[in-house]
Amino acid sequence: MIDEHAYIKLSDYLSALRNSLDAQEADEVMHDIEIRMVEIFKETLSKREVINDSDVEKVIAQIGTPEQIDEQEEAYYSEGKQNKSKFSTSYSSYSSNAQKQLFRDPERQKIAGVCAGLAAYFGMDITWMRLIWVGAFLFLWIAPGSSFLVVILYFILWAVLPKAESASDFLKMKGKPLNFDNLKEESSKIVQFANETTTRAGEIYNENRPKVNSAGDSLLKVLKYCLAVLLALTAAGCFIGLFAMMFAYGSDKFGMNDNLGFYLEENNLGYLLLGIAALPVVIIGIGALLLSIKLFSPKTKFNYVGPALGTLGIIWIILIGILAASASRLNFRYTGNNEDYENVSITAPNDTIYLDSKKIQIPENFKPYVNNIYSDKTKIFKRDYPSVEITRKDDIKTPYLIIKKEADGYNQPMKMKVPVDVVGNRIFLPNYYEIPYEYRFRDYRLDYELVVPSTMKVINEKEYEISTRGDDDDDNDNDGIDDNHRNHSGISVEENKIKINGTTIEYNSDDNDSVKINGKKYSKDSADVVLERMKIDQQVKKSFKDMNINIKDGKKEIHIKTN
Amino acid sequence: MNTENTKAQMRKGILEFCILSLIQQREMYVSDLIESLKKGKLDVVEGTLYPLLTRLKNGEFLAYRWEESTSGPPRKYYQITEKGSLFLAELQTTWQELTDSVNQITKNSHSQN
Repeated sequence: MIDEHAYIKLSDYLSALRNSLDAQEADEVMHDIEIRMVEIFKETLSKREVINDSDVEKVIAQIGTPEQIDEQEEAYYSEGKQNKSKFSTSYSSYSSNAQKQLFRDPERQKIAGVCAGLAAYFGMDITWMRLIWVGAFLFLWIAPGSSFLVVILYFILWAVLPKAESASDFLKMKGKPLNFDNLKEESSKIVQFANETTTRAGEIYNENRPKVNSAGDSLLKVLKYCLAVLLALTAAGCFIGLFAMMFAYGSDKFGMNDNLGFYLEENNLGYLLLGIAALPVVIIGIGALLLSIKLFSPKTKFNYVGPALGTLGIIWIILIGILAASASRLNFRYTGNNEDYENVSITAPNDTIYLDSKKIQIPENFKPYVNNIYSDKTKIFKRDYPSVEITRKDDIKTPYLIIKKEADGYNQPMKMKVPVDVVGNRIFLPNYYEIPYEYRFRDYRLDYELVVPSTMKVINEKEYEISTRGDDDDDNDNDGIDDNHRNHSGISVEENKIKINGTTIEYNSDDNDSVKINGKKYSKDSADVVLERMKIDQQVKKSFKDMNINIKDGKKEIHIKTN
Repeated sequence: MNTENTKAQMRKGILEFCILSLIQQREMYVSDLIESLKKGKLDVVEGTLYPLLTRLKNGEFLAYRWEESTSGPPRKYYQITEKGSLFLAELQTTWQELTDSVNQITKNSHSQN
């Protein structure tokens, strides 16, 4: 049994003693000393139960204070302790940052004691330090979200800086020399923090004693601080970059095509991708930050740095692994492709067929994804821009519509629903088709072919929505374009107008949302699909291996690319 | 001229020499050592001895064994090794030479005065 005050005294004594020892020998020597102490206590106590102050003082007198031991070692030892400078402790009464150590100060903490610790380190008033943090937080509010960085920085420091717990920690934090008198003074202040004193492994005492700086050191010092500033800037850059990355991700500017976008969102792999991009930046940022702190203040020790950075690295590798595995699984899931043709005959009494579009109502519980995909995890609605190839045949009387469905996976059932309605002589083509959720990566394709008797007239009622191919009697411009085609056999570019092998693409700067293809208007979104269906790509490929056309008009631009 | 420093320089190495000599006579425990040193007017605290003993032990000049104690924890009894004996012999020679020459010189200087 030991009374509380005696305990604090003893544990501070032990930690001071440990601090005064060489690190390599500390454990062994402390073990010897502790055993000896037990013996001394046993001798003095005999019948008493509780160790009191005077017992502890007696032990200290017998074994000696760190200062005494130090003096005697100086006096008698033939070989000095390693790196030990031969100056008495009184020398260290004035302190510089190099002797200080960054801690969190639990005594004066508001949140975690980071500000208090920094204030003690820089020797400034705690209020000013807090004002700097709050000021930085408020100031960065101008750039949306940058304040977040301040908070992140605070949390990193919180995690990384050790909490000052023992009397010796407090002395190091304040840059006071670690001698027994100071320890005693400090420990009387922190009775409530003293419990773990003995468990803290001692640092080499001489670390806290001043060293004489030789003149040659100063240049090295300048270089060191330059490097530290550079590292600090690197860290800041990393965190700003990180923020930009998150911002870019949040604003949906990660350009991706249909499948990838859907796939990423669907599996939360978007976050995975973000993680893969962001983690190295985090690691480098933290590394640079800590290195620069370490350079500014070599005595600072950090908690959990190795394990934390290691864990981040491992997480990064795992993320890459997950992404690679899931991507390759996706890639090899389907082989070949499956086709399914569905014929719908149109028993129209009239000699005209109208093409109309049908607006599919998507239930509210379907969640929208990028590129006009809706899903409720069992079914998927995918946007379609119907394109109809019109074929004229003399030997038929009843016109019919062929719905050509195509998807990856030769051995998989088609399971694609295209709700085409025929009312009289009017064909309603849906603007969305439906596929099962489990087949979401099969890359469904849809095309229509309308086979009509040669005399029948086909009128596209929704030119904006539906495109037609192969029927040349409903457009007068076609002849001209054919001429063009023959004459130039390639591409001509005029203002806001491109002609490619017989197809004209026009762009009107007054109307930003649509382009004209062969004189018909299409929405900007559907233009790609229309062009693709027109097989322009293939035609162009024959004449040009690589083409890239941009029409720019202020902010809007049209981009045509084949390769 | 720092007189303290000069004195300290003169004392250097003495403690090792004394401890090795004491332990060569018989196996010893720290409190025995302290007692003997005190008798010889060499006043050191126990805390000074532990690092030194550990260093000598690590340098294989000393070995130790644990001995059960009737009152309290087991004690470390130190004994000298062969290497320690050789080292001690060297130290003794050096010490002898040193004291001889110092004595002679100081005596001469006294007589001259």
